[in-house]
Amino acid sequence: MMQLTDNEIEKLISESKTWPGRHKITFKREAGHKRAGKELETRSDNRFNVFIRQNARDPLDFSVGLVYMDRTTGEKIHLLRCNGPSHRHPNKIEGNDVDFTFHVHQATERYIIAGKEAEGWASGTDEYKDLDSALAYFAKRANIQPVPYIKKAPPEKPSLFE
Amino acid sequence: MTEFLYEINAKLSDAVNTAVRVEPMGRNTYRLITPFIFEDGDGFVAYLEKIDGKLRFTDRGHTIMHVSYKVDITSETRESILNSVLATHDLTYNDGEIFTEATLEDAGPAFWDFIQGLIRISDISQWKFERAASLFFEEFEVFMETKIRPSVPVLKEDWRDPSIDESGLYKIPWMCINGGKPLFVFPIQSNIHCDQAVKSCLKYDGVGYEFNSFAVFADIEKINRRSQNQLLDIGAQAVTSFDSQRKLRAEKIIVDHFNYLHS
Repeated sequence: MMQLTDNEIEKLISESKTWPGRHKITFKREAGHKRAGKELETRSDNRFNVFIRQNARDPLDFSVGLVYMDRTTGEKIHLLRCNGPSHRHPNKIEGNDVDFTFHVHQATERYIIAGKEAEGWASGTDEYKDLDSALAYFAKRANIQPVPYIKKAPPEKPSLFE
Repeated sequence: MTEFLYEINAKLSDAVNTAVRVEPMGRNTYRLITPFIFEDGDGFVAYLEKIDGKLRFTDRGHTIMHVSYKVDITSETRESILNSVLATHDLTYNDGEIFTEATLEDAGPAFWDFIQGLIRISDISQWKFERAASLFFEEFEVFMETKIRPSVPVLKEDWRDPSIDESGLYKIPWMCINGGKPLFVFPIQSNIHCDQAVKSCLKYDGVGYEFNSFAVFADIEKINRRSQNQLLDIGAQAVTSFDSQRKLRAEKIIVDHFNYLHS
């Protein structure tokens, strides 16, 4: 598995990225879920992909993920993933549970070193409440501009009250 | 706790030999909380629904969607994995959803099968392996059709001699005749393929059938030493790799081998 420190992971997540083309998401339907994906543009040589999934039976069963690909080895690592509350998530190393709530997975050095899935750690969040708001949060967290959306484009500038 | 909840809870926990929590989510729907998780730590999604007096265990389409975060679940790979798992565990697939139905009496074994099926489908390494296998065999077929077929009068896929192999258990993936002894060609991507090639060769050899054999490994490093040795011990020649980097070289070796054998 690709070895990354927490600092390197954070740098990759917060690196400035551009969402190319239309930023309104168009989905394809496949095997009971809606799916979309995009390769992001960066000023660096780093390569990132975003994937979006939403269960056709349960709109709150969704996932938005940021994948980093090592250019030389082709190896991929999931750096960040915003999930809905459709399932619980036990953190294997910490021994605690995220119980049926919106949660964010993030790759960590300790999971990589332990030989587990890099993004095996997750924590509950109230930063979003559906896929649209999860996308907005995800874009902000992963420094992606412009912010992609599904139903309603987010405002270009923050409102006076934010 | 109602009598039904108490009974179903006990049956499901017994079936998988671990505590399962059954939470009512409405009149006829229950969320099943189990310790079973995906490789990234997310818990399985499992529901029990009462429909027309039957019990239905369903993942509501989550498992396949979850697998799709990391692997390509489209096309024949999905079919190949799903068909095998569904058949083994008596499960049904409909538009992403995996489910099974049972009576209250049979709920335990049905739930066991349901969980085993989800465990197998959620195994990412299996999807990667199947995809790699599928690509290798597709590539190999193209190679045989384009490079070998024009050079030999007889080339048959999945061949058997019915007088030796009545049941078709020892099929030869590719058989070529160009005068002289037939050449059996075995594309090998896993230990299972390697062991099967050995069994097929021994079957024909055992009745005195004369042939030459040639093995094409997708990557010999991924085959265990015992299987490799058994195949090489029965006299098969081999190309150790058919990956993209060494494919051209492998093609040349195989074509030269055919020419050499049949010159």
